[in-house]
Amino acid sequence: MVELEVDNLKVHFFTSTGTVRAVDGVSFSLKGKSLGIAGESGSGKTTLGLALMNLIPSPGRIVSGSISLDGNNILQFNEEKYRTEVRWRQISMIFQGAMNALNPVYTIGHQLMEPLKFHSELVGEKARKKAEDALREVGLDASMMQRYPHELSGGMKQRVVIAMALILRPKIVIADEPTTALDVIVQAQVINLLKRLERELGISIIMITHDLSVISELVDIVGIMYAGELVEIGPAEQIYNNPKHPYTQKLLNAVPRLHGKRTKLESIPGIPPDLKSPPPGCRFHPRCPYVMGICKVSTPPYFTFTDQKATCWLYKEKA
Amino acid sequence: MSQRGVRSLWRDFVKQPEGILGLSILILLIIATSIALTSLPPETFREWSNPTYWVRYPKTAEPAWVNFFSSSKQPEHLILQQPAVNEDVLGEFRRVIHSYTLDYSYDDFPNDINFNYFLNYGATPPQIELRVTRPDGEVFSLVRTTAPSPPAQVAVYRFNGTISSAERILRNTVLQQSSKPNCPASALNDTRANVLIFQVSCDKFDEGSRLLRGRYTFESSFFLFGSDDRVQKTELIIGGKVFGFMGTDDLGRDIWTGVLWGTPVALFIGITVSIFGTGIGLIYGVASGYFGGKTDEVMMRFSDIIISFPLLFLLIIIAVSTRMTLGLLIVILVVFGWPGLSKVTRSIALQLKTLPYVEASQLIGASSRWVMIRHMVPQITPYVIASVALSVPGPILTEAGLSFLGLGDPTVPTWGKILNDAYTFGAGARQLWWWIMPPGVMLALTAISFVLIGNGLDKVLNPKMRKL
Amino acid sequence: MGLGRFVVTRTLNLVLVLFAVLLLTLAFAGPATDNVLKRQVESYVRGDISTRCNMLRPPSFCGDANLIKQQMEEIKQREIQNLGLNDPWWSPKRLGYSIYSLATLNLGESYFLRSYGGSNIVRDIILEALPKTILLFTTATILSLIIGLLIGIRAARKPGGILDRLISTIGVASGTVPIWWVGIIAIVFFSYTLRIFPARATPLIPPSDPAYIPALLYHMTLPLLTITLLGFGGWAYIVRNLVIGIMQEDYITVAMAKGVPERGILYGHVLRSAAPPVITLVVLSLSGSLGGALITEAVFDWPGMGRLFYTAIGALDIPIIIGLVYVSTAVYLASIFIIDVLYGFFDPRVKAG
Repeated sequence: MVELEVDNLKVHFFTSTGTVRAVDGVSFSLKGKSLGIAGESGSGKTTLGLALMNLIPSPGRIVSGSISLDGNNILQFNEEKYRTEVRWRQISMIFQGAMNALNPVYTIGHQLMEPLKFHSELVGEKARKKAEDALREVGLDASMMQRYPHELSGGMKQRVVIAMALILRPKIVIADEPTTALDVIVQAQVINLLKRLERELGISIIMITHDLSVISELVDIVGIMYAGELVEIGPAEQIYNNPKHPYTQKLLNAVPRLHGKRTKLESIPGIPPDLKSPPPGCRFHPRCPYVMGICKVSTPPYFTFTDQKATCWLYKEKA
Repeated sequence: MSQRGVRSLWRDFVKQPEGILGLSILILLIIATSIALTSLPPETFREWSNPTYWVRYPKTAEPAWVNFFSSSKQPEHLILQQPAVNEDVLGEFRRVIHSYTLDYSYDDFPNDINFNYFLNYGATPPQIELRVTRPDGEVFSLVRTTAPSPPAQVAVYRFNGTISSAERILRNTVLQQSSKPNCPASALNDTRANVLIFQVSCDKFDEGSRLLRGRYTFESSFFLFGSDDRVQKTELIIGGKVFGFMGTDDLGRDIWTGVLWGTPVALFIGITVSIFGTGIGLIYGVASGYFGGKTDEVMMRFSDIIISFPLLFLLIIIAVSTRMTLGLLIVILVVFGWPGLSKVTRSIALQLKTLPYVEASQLIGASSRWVMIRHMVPQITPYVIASVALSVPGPILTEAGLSFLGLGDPTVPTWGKILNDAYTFGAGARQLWWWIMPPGVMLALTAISFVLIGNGLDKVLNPKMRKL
Repeated sequence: MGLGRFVVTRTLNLVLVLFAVLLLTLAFAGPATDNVLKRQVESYVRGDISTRCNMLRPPSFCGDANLIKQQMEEIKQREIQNLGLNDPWWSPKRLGYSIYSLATLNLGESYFLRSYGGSNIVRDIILEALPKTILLFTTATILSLIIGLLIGIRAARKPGGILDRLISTIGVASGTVPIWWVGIIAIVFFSYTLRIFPARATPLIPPSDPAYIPALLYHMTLPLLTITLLGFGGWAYIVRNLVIGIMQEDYITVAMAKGVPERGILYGHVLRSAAPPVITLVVLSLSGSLGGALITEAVFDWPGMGRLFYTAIGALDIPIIIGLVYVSTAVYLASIFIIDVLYGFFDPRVKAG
């Protein structure tokens, strides 16, 4: 069972127009379960995923914090060590937009075997066999090996990307928006596939998405990100049935439900904040229906309810 | 593109070092053009290839400012045309005196001295005298002569004459009058008046100390007999070894003038060809993409043919068989220049064609022309603007190359033509750097400026090029 | 579309374009040729008649000026008839003949110029010059490309860095400066001032001399250096832009995530993606250099196709001019054809149409 501990992680981008605080102090811990990170575009969730892979592109940098994998602070590894030991071997990633995740000039087989080349001693025939196995695992035929990415449909490409992520049997797989741009049926197929693999192979999935309805199927723990901060985190059931943070509540209200009372879909007024100069105090306060004086001034800490946490001044007394 | 859009694009553009650099160079070029068009006499343009026009200028003179960098000052070429004029009446005739004063402080003798005078007179020809007063007080009377008689039946005779230091008579005259004749005859054999007038003595053979520096006054007196007789103009030309901003070439042409004139010509060629070529290419590509199918195929084949055509060869063949003029060159460059852009605009048009609003306007019943002009062209134009700037250097360099080969328009002074003259006269072997460098530098600068501007525009307008 | 049909389509395209280009060339050169030929005939006839009239026993008509003129006209017309100049160049008979001969690479004989071996067959003359042009420009292009690739990749690794900014400015500048002018400056500086290299790039010994090749290479040094120096900047800039663009693609991030080391990324993924446009440009510039080489070769006096063209223009040796246009256009079109096929090989998306 893998143990991932993220403590006060901050990732800032130093651009010519200002410093974007994309991830501003995120902490959570994960023990062998699956985690879903949900939030709007620009909330920092993709950056968080990239940070776990230590692949923050310039002009960004991990400014402070620690990522602890099975007791080791991997942020202290140098690039070479990270590359050979952590990346793809322990943590791998399914990227957002499988359309571009595959290099159009290389065959599927080549790209599947690539991690094997750099992380294992498998070469030649053995590597091919392993790659073919990986394809079968995700429900694709071994004949895909010779094909080129442009010959595959969106759903098939997504499966290849999943197969690629799993080929080294990592402990954690970060799935960044794996179902965006896929139609509903294929979405369902991919989710089911992920569920099955999670179960059979015992990997922890960290799923990053803006689509709350998708997460519910797959993960044990759900974290909500807003403006670079993790505003609420807890078991999936509880988040869905009893959201504490106003933002979470609003998010859930915006999701249409098939069952239950017919309620009006609500959108959240206002626009997401500029991460170069976020609002003081609680970052959600300009859009919050329950805003109080203290919210504008002081950042709320985590208030814990059993195994659920939320940063909202509403719960100052109740926790 | 909205007003606000244009302004913010401009701001993005000038934030880039490329944009600023390119623009500054372009501004310099425009300034040069203005200087050329306003302050240069238009005859210098027309008479560029006419050697007689440039007779009063030194040949193959270095630029005047080289004197800053050398210990011995080369004599500057001086064309003096503003004499002090005095006139008095002495009985039956008038005496008009034109005198020129100059401070001669150079370290070498002038190449020659030429005095030109322009007279109008009637039946009785005037008498002419020319004297020079040296800084040490010596006065040489150089010339005492009478103008030629006017031909019969001419009421007012216009005559212009020249007194030149090249004439042997002048030399002998000076020699006779010189009070320091302690030069061996052999040393004086080839010495002309220009040296004798200015020399101190030839005791020492060190040229530097032979030269007498100081104030020289050349006084010309005209004795006029007719009441309508006039001295129209005189000018004194002290032949020097250096002249002007950029020196002169073998024909005496001021290279600074040539370079200045070349600027508007080059800009004209480049911008005209670029604008027309881009315009045609844009419309052609849009039409081809819009109509699609067979029309598209045919149009693309046609433009393929034009692209493949060896343009330089064609230009050369035309230049050899008929006369190449600037206008003809521009037309040919446009005719063979537009296909390049049309491929790009066509591919964008193909994408735009599938957009809903295009379909919508077709359904409404808009004509093809309307759809293309109103909907597609404005969308594509931003991508094309960078191309306008980037297409400017091509024609300029092609014309320069053609002129360099001697096949351009012979009547127009262009940078390429100046280089052609330089090459023909062997300026390379003679290391006449002031002839070879400026035109090439101007070509390079002009090309660089437009490429920089084009790249800057590309970065601003083309989102793919945004990141660095 | 399949590779076979692809090839056939492109070949047809090529032939069509070549044909059209030839037609246009003949259209321009034809009248000029005819005029020159007719004048030649005239002077030949005149010379012939005056020779005959100066002989010991001149023919009868030499006494009368009018009769002489008549004879000249007759003979001239007969010659013109023989040469087939009576029909205008665009008549089917002549046109067909021209095109046929060009297609079979029978380029005729030159008027004035000769090859080193003394042959006046245009094909020989051109074939003698062609390899030298290829030698100089191909070497220069390959050198600039290699240097440009290395520098461009280096610059792209650290975008915004010193090297990168240098390339962005110099790369732009060096491509736009006219090579022939720099050539003149280089010759003045290196040949006349410093006297390191010869001023004219033609070796003074004939090709048959065994020492010719080394001499040729020595003479080639200055033009080679000049062209390469002016060329690598442009390549570096292009490569740098390409690489930066590719590095932003998602699949590069994926490859990095997969643990591919930087070397593998740059020289594997990036280069492979950059190959098609780079190869296109290489082939285009190689074949384009045959044409633009004209002025450069003239300035350096390099014994290649460009200088041949320059000399042919000066001498108005029309067959050579036409032959050169034909050869260089054919090479250019062939290279485009090769590009298309190679592109299909490198980028699998293209083959599918």
